This record gives sequence, structure tokens and C-alpha cells, in this order.
Amino acid sequence: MYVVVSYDIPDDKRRRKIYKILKDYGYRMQYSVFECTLDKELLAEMEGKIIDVINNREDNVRFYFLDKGQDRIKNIGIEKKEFASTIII
Amino acid sequence: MVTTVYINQRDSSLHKRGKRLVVKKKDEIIAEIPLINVDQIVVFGNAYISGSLVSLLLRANIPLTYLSYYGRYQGRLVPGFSKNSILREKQHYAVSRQDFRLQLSKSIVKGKLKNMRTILMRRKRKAFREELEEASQEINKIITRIEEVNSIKKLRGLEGLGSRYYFNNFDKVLEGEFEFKGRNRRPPKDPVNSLLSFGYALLLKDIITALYIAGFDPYIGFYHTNQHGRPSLALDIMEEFRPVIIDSLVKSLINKKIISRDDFQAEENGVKIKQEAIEKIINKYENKLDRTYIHPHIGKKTTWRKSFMWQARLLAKAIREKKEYYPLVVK
Repeated sequence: MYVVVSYDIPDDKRRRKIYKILKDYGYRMQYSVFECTLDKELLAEMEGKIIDVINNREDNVRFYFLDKGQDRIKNIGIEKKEFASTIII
Repeated sequence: MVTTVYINQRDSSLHKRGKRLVVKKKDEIIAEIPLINVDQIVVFGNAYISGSLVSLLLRANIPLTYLSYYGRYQGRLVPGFSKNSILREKQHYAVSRQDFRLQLSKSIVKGKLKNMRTILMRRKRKAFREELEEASQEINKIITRIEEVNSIKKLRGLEGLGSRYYFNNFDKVLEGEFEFKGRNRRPPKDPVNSLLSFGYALLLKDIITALYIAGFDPYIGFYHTNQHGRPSLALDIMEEFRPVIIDSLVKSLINKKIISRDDFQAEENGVKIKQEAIEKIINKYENKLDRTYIHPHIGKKTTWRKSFMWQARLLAKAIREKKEYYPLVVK
């Protein structure tokens, strides 16, 4: 499934930790927005790590589940073309 | 969505950071990719790979395939044979049975020639139609003769004959500036042959992967003889796919003018595809593999990519049940 994860974390340390976690699961599209393609297990794994880090009273992390993945996304401005089913470097 | 990562950079090095593949070129990071969605990594040429990345790839069961700059298969980094040793044992036994080897080889060659015939007949324009129909009929005659053959040596002769009819007429399905007077390789001497060779190398690595996942030893084949370092079984299974995946792809690249003369450079004794053009070819190849169609034998809608696994499974079934192998023949 295609998931957009966005976060709002005032504390620098915790925000950095969340960023480091998400980097292993998807691509950073904007300052605090990641897009990931995950199955149930990986999603649960990622959520677990996030829950361990955040402070429930100050921090906010949101998951948007997009049905048709990238087909539902429109981009204006410079586009990061980091993912595709084939990556050629 | 599973991703194949191709590294087409000279002097690159591969590292690990967290669970990501980091690609550097002269100490500068040029890409950082989470390995979570990565299916396999293909490297052209030599690339330094760090030990910690090797460990991660092995643990995550992500094969790393090395191809030469020409696309020639060098080898793979994988965790070791899959657990299906029973199938491998049966494979070894089946290879020692002359009658089974001959029967399987016949199926393979028939599949290849039928698909070659189909490619020749796909031309829509009127030009050359007569010659193509004639070549197609000659190939048909060869296919009927296959049944009577009683040795693999004779079978090879017929296959060679059929292939010659095919390649001698392949230029008639191509439009545009490229000439093709027949197959040559090691190294390929003209653009069309370079494209074919490169395409076959891409296809080979995917067939090796499918066979490996199915539990086979890709190096022990039935029709192709076992030579040191030659993935004979992969070459066997590849036969039926060559015309419909690669020859057809090359035809598309040329006829749709995705590839032009500028994409090639002359070398010592052959012709090489320029690095920038390689990306175009890989993209077209991967796109083709994602296309769906209905598998003639299994009756289900599937992708070309998954077909490699289907055929590997059909082969496993043929070996286990000592029955006929059904190659993928398209219309």
C-alpha cells in the first residue's frame, strides 16, 4: 500500500529520530513528508519505531493511505524522481 | 511495487547507511535508496561494494548481479542455494536421463522456433510479406521435422537452420536506418547486434533469478551443454523468450526511433552502446516486463516478468512428474 507520512515535531532531537526512521522506509518528498510503499508488516514495524520515539502530548505524525498510489498525486514545481519500479543510476 | 536498481556509473561504490543503499561516485553521494522495496540490484562494470552492504543484501535476500559494460553476465551475489534441494536432486537425475533430456530439448527448440515464426509474421506492412511468409513456412517445416529427431546433436542442427531462416529475414521487420545481415557476437559488430546481445544479457539475469527462486541450479542444463561458468539451464529456458521479449523489444526500439545511430560508438572490433542510451533500453525492457497478457498454458492474466517464474514452475512439474514441458508460445 502507498502511504504518505507527515510529521510535526517541535523537538529537534525527536524530529531527527523520526526522520532517520522514515528514511529506511520511503522517500522524503518535502521537509516533513515521506512517501512509502509498504506491506502490512513493514507498516507495523515502522509505526512501532515511531511510537517509541514520539511524545504524545507534543508531537503529531499522520499517515495518509492512497489507494492508487502515485496515480493520485499531482506535482507542481521541481519533482523528485527518486522512485519508480526501475531505478537507473 | 518492487524495484530493480541498475547502477550504470563508472567508478561507483556501493555502501550501506541504515537500511539504505548509498551509491557514491568519487566520494560524492549520487543516490540513496531504501532497500525495503528493492528486488534486485544490477551493476554494470566494476563497483566497489562495502562489506556491510554485502551483509545487508545477503540477509535481505536481495541478489546483486554483475554485468560487464557490454551487458555480459559475470555473476551474482546471493545467500547460497535456496532450500529446495529435493528439486535440485531431481534436476541432476533428470539431466542424466537421455530420453528426458531429448524430449525436453525438443520442447524448448519447438517453443523458440514457433515464437520466431510469430515475430516474423507480426509485420503489418505489405512490403516483404511474401518473403516473410516463405521464411515462416520454412521454419514450420523444421518444426515438424523436430519430432523425428533422435539425438540432441541433430536437434541443434535443426535449431541452427531455423534460427538462420529467422535472422536472415529479421531485417525485414525493421524499419529505418539500421542494417541487419545476420547475427554476430563477441563482440557484436553492428548496432542491431549490440542491442540484441545487451537485451539477451538483461533477460538472462532475470531468468537466472527465477530459476534460482524456483529452487533450480541454473548452471545445469538439458539442451545447452554444461561448460564451466555457463548458466546452461537459464540458457535453455531463455530460448523461448528471446524472440518475444528481446527481439520484439529491439524491433520496437528501432521502429519507434527510440534508438538512433548517435546512441552507438565504434570500438576496436565492434560496436558499443553509449552509456546514456543504456538507460532508454533498460526502461523499455522493464516496461515490457510489466505488461500483462494471458498465459497460454495456465490461462491466467499475468505479466511477462512473472512468466519466468511460471515457466520455471512448469519445468519443475515436468521434471517431477516426468512429463512434457510446455514452453511459452505466443500468438
